[in-house]
Amino acid sequence: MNLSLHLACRGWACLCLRILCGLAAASCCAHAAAQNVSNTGNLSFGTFVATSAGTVAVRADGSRGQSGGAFVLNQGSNTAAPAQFAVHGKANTVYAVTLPADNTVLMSDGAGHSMAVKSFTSNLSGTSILSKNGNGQFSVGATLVVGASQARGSYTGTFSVIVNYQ
Amino acid sequence: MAFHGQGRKANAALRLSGFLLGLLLAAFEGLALVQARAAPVAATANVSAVILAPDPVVSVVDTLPAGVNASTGTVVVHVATTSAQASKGPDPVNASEPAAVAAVMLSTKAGDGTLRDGGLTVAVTAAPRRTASHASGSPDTVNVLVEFN
Repeated sequence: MNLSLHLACRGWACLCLRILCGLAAASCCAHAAAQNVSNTGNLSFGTFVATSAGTVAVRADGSRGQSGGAFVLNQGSNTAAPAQFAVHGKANTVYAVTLPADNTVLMSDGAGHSMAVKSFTSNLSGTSILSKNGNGQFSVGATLVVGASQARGSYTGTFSVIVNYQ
Repeated sequence: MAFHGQGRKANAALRLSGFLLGLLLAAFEGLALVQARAAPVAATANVSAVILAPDPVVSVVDTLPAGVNASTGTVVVHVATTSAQASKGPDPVNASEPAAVAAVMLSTKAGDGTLRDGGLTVAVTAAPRRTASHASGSPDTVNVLVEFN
């Protein structure tokens, strides 16, 4: 009987040890594979003149386009730029980016006027892979829809991207 | 004998509870692994734009003269002041010129590079900029010269 209890206690000791090791390992792995994405640069359509309805596009590579009555300007402190994001996670992890749907992002001047943002694009084609150090980055561009009588002023808004690890 | 039986029961209970805890631990480890792998993460960025006043703006539309190759030719747009219309160069306008009204060229916008009715439509947008020497209240006039090469 003493032997049986002794063996049972040894079993419990092993189980406790395993639990401790498991928790430690889980904590360790969770730290090593901590996955996150952070915004490192904001999307700016820059400065432009709107004489009638049109669009202003900032592509993921930083180039800018215009159509209709929108005339982009290379002046002012609000320089056009795509948004930049940094991705972190486990080395060599495959990930994909989900961008906002068309016209779900609005920019407002705070005075009741707004513009819709559509056609979000990133410089990633499909999926990408984190580096050996677990780092990655991508940029996001979009197209701004300017109304026919769009009020002048400064417009701001926010948008979110989702990184799905696979 | 009874004491021996109770020991067996205790031993069995210990083993059963150990087994169940092991199962729980395995489930926990599996869940943690799945969460670490599949959880999507999100980040938010700001987006901004500045629209300048469209007025005063002068828009000029001209057409490409016949014989000029639209695909290889270049369009040079000059924004000239009222008293410096004849000046040539990539940027003939500056405030130091003896002009009553200077102008800053905002943008040039060519068409899609194809000939339309024998010409290429070019739109020019410019805004007058009043200089110190120009009397306030006088009309601002900007002459836009479009040169085709």
